[in-house]
Amino acid sequence: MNCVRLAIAAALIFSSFPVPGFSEESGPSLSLDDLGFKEDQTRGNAELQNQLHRRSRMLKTHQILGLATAVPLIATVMTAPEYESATPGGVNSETKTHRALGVTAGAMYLTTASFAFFAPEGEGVKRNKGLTKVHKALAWIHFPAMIAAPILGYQAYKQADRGESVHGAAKHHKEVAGLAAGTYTAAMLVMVFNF
Amino acid sequence: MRRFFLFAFLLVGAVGLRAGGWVLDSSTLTYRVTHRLHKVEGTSHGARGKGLCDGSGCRFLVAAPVNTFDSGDSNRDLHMIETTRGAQFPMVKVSVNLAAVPAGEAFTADLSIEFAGKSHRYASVPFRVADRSAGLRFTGQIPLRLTDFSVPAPSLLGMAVKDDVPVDVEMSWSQKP
Repeated sequence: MNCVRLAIAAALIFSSFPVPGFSEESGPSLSLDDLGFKEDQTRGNAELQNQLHRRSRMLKTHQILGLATAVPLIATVMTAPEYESATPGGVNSETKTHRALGVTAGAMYLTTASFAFFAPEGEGVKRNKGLTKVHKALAWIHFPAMIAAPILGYQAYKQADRGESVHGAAKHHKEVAGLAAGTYTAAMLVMVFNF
Repeated sequence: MRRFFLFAFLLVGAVGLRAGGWVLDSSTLTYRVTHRLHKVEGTSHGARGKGLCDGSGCRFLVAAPVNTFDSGDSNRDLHMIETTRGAQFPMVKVSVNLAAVPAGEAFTADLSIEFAGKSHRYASVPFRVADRSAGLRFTGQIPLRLTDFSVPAPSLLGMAVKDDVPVDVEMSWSQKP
């Protein structure tokens, strides 16, 4: 019986001692360490933040240039001359306008693409998920088309300048350029509504 | 030997009775961003939390890694992490003090939130208790705003997203044995 009394007395005494994680003055306290996260989840990474900032800046520039490139690209399509048959006297001013717009669109396109191509990859998030995947996939179509279209266009230009009817691969310039413009516009619209 | 075990049992019991512990079993946190062209939601199930109760009240701490929020698009999620300084401040922390464990169908709580390297307090945020059969499950909405944490509002075509980014909360807590 004495032992029981002793045990109860000791329990009462010890119950007044501080409990780990508790503070008598401010009550129970908790910290991130108590929640069981790994150290790499809770530790900040300034270098990664800078990398993400660089990525965002470059992709923002890519976005703005991409929207701007759409203007000469559409204008190039709209000023496309018809060369179904031989044109006596060679090319005219309409063709020259189309060519100038095409060169402008091409240069802007490549500049736009370079900002996306050289933007740092992000860490910590699963890559290529969502409509961004579609945007990147469309590049596999409009990028080669944008390379091929001016080449075919130049061939067509030379043939027309010689007074020949456009023939061979050059006669597909219109379709290839249309494919480039169409998929480019689709890629742009996907990101506008996927913001 | 029997006396020793009785003594030890009473000693541990006396200490243990002082502390009531809660652990977060599961959670769904969903932020909603509104732009003129469309709305975006990002959801995280990666929060962890603990609660401690004693005679002076209850304190709860919930934290979630910023990179666990998934909006369905990896590029958008990376941009979100960059905008919210999520690489430098990878955790969003919510601290709550309550006088006692909620007993009714609804309760309000003052939330102290650390996010994007800043702190902000939201007073009297209402929550609704959904279920008590296995612990405590409740839902609510935190009226978070980007300006409260100095987060620059993303924009597209010259139009910025709305400052209000409410966070829907659904949590299930259980008492520690």
